[in-house]
Amino acid sequence: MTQPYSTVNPSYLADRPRRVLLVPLDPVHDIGLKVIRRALNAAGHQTMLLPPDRTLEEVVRAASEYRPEFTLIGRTVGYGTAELLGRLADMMEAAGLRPATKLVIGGMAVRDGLAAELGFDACFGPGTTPEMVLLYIDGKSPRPLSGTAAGQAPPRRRDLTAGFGYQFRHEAIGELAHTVASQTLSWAAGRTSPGVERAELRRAILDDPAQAGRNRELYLELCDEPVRLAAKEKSAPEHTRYLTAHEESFLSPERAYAAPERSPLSGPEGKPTVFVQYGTGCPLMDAAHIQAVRQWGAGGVVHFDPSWAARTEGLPSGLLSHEHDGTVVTLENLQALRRAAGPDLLWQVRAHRGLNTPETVLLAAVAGADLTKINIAYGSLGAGTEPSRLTVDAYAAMTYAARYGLPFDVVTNEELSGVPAHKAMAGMLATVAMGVALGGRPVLQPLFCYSPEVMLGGQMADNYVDFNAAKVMALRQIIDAPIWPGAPVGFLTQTEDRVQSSVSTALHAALAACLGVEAVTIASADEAYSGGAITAAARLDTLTAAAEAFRFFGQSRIEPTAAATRWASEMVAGVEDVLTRVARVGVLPEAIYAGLLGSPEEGVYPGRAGRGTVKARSR
Amino acid sequence: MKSIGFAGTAKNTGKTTALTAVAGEATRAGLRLALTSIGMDGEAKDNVTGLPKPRVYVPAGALVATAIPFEAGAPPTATPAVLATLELLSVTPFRSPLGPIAIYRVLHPGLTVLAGPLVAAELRLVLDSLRAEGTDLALVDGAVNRLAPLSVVDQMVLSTGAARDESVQVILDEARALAFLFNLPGAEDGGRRGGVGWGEGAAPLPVAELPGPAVLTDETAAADLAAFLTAAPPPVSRRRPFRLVFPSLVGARALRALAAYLVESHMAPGEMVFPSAAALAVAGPAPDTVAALLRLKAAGWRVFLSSAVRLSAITTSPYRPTYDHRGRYYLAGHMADAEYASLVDELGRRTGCPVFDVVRSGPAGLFQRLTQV
Repeated sequence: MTQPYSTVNPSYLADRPRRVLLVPLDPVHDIGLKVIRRALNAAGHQTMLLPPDRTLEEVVRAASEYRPEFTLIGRTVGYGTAELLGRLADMMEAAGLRPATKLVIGGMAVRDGLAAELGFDACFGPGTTPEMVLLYIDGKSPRPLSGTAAGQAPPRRRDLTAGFGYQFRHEAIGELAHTVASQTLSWAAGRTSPGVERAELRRAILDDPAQAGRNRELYLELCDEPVRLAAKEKSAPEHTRYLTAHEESFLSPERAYAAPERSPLSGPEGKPTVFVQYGTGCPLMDAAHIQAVRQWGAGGVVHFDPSWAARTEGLPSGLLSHEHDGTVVTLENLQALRRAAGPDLLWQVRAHRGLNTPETVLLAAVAGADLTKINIAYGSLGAGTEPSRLTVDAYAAMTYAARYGLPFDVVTNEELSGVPAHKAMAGMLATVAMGVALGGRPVLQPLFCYSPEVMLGGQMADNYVDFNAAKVMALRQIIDAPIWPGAPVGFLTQTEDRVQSSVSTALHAALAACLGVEAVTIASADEAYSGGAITAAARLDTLTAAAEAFRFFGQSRIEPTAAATRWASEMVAGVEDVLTRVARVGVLPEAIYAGLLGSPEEGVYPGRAGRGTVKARSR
Repeated sequence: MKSIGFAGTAKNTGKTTALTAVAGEATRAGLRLALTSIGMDGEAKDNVTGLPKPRVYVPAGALVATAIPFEAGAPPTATPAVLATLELLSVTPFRSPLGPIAIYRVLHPGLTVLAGPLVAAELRLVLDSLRAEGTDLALVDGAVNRLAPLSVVDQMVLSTGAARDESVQVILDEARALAFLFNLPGAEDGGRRGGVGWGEGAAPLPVAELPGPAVLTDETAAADLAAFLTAAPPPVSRRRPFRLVFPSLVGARALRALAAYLVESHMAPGEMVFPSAAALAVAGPAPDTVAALLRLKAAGWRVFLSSAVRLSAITTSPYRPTYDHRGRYYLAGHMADAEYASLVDELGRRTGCPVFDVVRSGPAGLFQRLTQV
């Protein structure tokens, strides 16, 4: 009936003591009820546990004498026992004990429908913990809930950056990163772009609605034709439509959020927080996905925007649904999705590539995001944004992030294009140094993946542990900063087989937990091969699998081989070498064009979106 | 409004099949119909066996009291096109494990799931609400072998059959006993007032009511009753007839002990009032309960029910799921035709109640019987 490993908060006390009769209506088994009884007693309730194998008459007699407010029956259900339990419900009622005593059944084969059929008020099926029973007894929830959060204030959102000082432990790399950062910041500070100017206009519009009209006109002058046209004609941009009033009603504060029925997933000591990505195109569907993953233990969600938006100057407005993947960044969409994320889920809005990054950070902050995502190197590579443009925009984006207190992750997804890990880390660390210099709180997001580098180099020929662990080890040798492997973990290890995909994702998440990182992003079981919409069931697959993996490893550790230590050292040396060469070049955009952070031979090319749009800032 | 409960002696004995048959006939007759259940009915698969279950089809205009109008994860056949469209009328204060119970009106006919009140007190109030909405006929589906919540309906249909037991004798003995209990006479005043007594020309009898809810058990029943009678104030006396009122459950073995005590102590026979047929039927094998009551009757005691529900008809089914122990799954099966025919005949003969198989013979006969009673 219960998971014996579940523990009850020792400080939990019942609102008022209740009388609870526990009945193992089974020839032998009463361990589940014993576990629950211990929790009930500890919480201050009065309990009586009958011995196993009593007759129904004996149970009813005991209930008539003890007069419990709750009678908990434990029973394995098979054919024939339904009649036995139905008869017990009848006898309790005929004896005049109902409804003064709530009749509750628990057992491995028990479900709500069966409980209703048998005449029981509630049921506790597989996965029941003592906490759930305590909450039910205390009337904290109208129905049994899984987890400790029900009926209590939702858990506070974690600050992933708390306790990190951002000192470079590797002095040489620290000096190089600071050099690159200061040179790049000086270069960017004197420049601007349409993206930067739009963000400033947007801020002015939000700050002073009275003057919004003129600023809105100026804003639209800086937008591409589709956005401008949509605003002028008050229509939705191509491939999007406004939500109907009926659809909007589902995004109201009352309907967009339902409190979690279980605690968020994590490994030991509450880490890592598990993030999942959403971006169905429709905020309504996104809200549904967010609701589902919350109930299955996600601690955070990541907003995915459409790829075309990254190549379009300007952001539309309104509650917009997009007919393809990726949910359009508008203030209205973001505000609705913050409501869906509620007070308990960390919510990240990505701004790491594209032509609207400063404004996206601004809108994310206004909408109440907890995190954003900025990376000049990755954002400029692999069909990304033109490096100069992204650097100027990233400067503004980091400034907004610092001003509004939004930590941002710096991801190394360029590894998927073929960039070696040490080069990707060098770009990451240069961006981190820029962010820290601007007062920001970056989070390192190394990729846990089966990258082209290891496919060719054979580092993962034996296992997926060593090379991924080496990345975390290397970064920890370099800097005191939070680490959040992503994004999502297990990239290129998952297949279209949902079991395989879930297992692989879960093991990568478990590795992250064993390495003690702050957060981890996991994919759905069908994310890589969905060929369309990601299904809620596949999302829950990997959350369930991750929960099981966390449970399996607990506080034990995965032991990497000596190769991890060797590769970590090689990565650190490689990062120092790359940053040395970048520092010689001077600023990041030039280094990217020079191929120092990923070359055409390695499969990456500088992005072109926004080319020629950077100009000197007028004094 | 008339309310009819569909009780069964076990799972898979045909309660929902009988209910849907009557619902169909009631619709054709133009009656304003309401449906609910004391369990969960209309779902695609049985909660225990996993075998298909009869679906519940509701006509336009009918009312439904349920916690779950549609089954989560319904199979592909239950597409929106065949699911009923429902309008929420009100939410009752009662809950099932599946959620709060609400009353809906059917806008477009189709399939629904019934999961209504769990206990009699709640069912009574739900029926009151359905009556207030102008219902002519309320049908209450039973659950498993549960009887107690149905003690507030006007009439009862009892379903039994091959799923109850492999032994025809067990099925027959139980059905006969249940028919006996449900056909015990009711006490118009609930049995507690005394004064004019029951039966034409009966003398008023003093009333002795056991404190409730006391559960009499076989070990102590006789001693408890003796002590109670000794302490009872006049005019209750062992030497003259009195009316003994049981407020609660009396187990079969306890009743046997009481019968032995009352008969063997040569107490003047009076009257006994039990809460309901369900209270007698659920506390042990019904045939054992009836045997004890017959012994009391033979000694001159008269037996009444505080709340009587008439058993109007019995339905039968040859359906019998069997468990495959090697494969660990259930298989649908049926009683052999000849054995089943014999069962149907014997049921009618031994219970004195009309017997129907609505699958083989159609629903008209059952509906006619229920509307005539």
